[in-house]
Amino acid sequence: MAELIEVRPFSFENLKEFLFENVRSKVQAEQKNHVAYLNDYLTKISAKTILAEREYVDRDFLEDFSAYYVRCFNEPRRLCVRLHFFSVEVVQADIDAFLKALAPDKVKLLQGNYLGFLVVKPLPFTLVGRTCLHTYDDANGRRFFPVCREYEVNLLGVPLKINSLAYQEQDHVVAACATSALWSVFQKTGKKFQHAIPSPVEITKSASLTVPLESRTFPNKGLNTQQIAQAIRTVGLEPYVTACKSNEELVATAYAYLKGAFPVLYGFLQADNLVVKGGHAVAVTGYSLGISKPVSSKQPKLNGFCLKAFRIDKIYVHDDQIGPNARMVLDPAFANFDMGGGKFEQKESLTSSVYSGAIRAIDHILFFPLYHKIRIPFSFIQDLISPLDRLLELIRTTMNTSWAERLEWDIYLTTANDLKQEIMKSTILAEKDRRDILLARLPRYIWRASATSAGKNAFEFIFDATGIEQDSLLVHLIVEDKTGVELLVRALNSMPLAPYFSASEIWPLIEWLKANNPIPVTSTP
Amino acid sequence: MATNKDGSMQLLTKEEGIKWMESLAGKTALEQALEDAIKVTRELQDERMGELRKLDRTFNL
Repeated sequence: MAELIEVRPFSFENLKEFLFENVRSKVQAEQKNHVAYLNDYLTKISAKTILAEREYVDRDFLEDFSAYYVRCFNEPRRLCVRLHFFSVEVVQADIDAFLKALAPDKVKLLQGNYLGFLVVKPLPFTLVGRTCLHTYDDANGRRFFPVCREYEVNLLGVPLKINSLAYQEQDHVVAACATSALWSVFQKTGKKFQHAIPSPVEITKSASLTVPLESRTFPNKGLNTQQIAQAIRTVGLEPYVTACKSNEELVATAYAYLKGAFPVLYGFLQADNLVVKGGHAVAVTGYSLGISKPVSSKQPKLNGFCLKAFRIDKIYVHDDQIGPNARMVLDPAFANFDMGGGKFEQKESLTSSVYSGAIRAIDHILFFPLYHKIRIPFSFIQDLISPLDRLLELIRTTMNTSWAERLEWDIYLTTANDLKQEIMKSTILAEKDRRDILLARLPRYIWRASATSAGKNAFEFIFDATGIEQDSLLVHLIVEDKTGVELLVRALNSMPLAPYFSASEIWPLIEWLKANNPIPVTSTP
Repeated sequence: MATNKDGSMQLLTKEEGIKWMESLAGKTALEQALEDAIKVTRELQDERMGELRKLDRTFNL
């Protein structure tokens, strides 16, 4: 019988041996994308040692086991193997040392070099269970994984911690791709919004309870949009669902929520060699701001509107067909996709980094599980900002302001607490202004829309994310460069503004700015 | 914005800019910019509503 604890140096061969302990066919298992992907991923995060913890009880697999597998004639085992990874060489003697006696240096060795774990499910083929691995490094401030959370791990009495978002592959029985993606997303929302985190089988059951599938629930063959929304409602959150017609709309919307650590489920049509095969769903874990200069919108109607999110060149996703934090690269080129039924459409796409560009994602849908009081969506805030931006650009290109370049907007959802924490640490604001904002009564959830020009902060609007669309949502204004805002308010005051404007969504914001002149701003000295 | 003798454009000073904003030409230009921006925002909102028809989909790959 294999040892309960076994330590080996990290290598592709050793990884495969541990992963394939229970598979039906090693030849078949070797064909899985996950195996090569995990080897590549673990190599990139500098894994040096694998420690296998056998006879491990995994709560999520146990739920799936008790709900389905236990009644199979050839039921699999219920115990799993948990593989731990370390970025330093650990040998069996190190483990034996602290099993025999107090060995603080060995404990420190494990704690200081922990890269996370992977649960190997005892199933014939779909073996990658709950997996929490260290993310890629930040690549000099380019990569961000804001929806990670801390997981506490206990290995033989040694408390370990890993900052990650749990991943697992679909087992094609109790969970298809959408269930696995939801499960990952709920790992974050469960902590952020305080709800119980359901197992895959519980998610699939809840999704199809009030919106039944045409065919049987288990083995599960996927969830539709309504079922995903229903699964989100079941954990006590509200689903905000939106379709994005372009890559830039996708990244702008996803970034607006991700930056403040609100996770997102991303559904799309998957095409293989430009032929659409069907819908696929993944959990977005991060993004790469890989473009160093501001990028203007490609949408001509937006007249050069510039969002920080447009600098994104890649997103990172938990793709249950591939592995954790898999790259999806934005491809700006349009391609002709076979949509089925003899219909072809020209579209932008995202390519998966794993299949040499053959697999592409088009027709994006984003699902945000949100606390019910977050009522104002990103699109509403963007629609307030873009007309103001047009006005500000006219002012900038006509008059002498201190804005050397077009304003770049950073729009994202966050909390008043996070804003105040940032202000508390800030050394830029004057004492009075700092005090004003730290003492300001703000709603729990806010939208921040900050404008910068040539890398210099100009000003920032703070909007109520919990308010009413017809009301003025602006609750605070932070000004670091007074000239531009002063000119904006003067411009609004000088315009007679025909009745046409009073019917627009931006009218309450215009009225607020006009009525509050001089604006009770927070400004830098 | 003023035009120099060599044809290059020169930005107005803050005081000149304020005068321009309060002139008929300035008011018209600013109001037109805002009106155009609101119109395209509404068009984009309509396009966004059209995209919502794509929501009816099953995710099963």
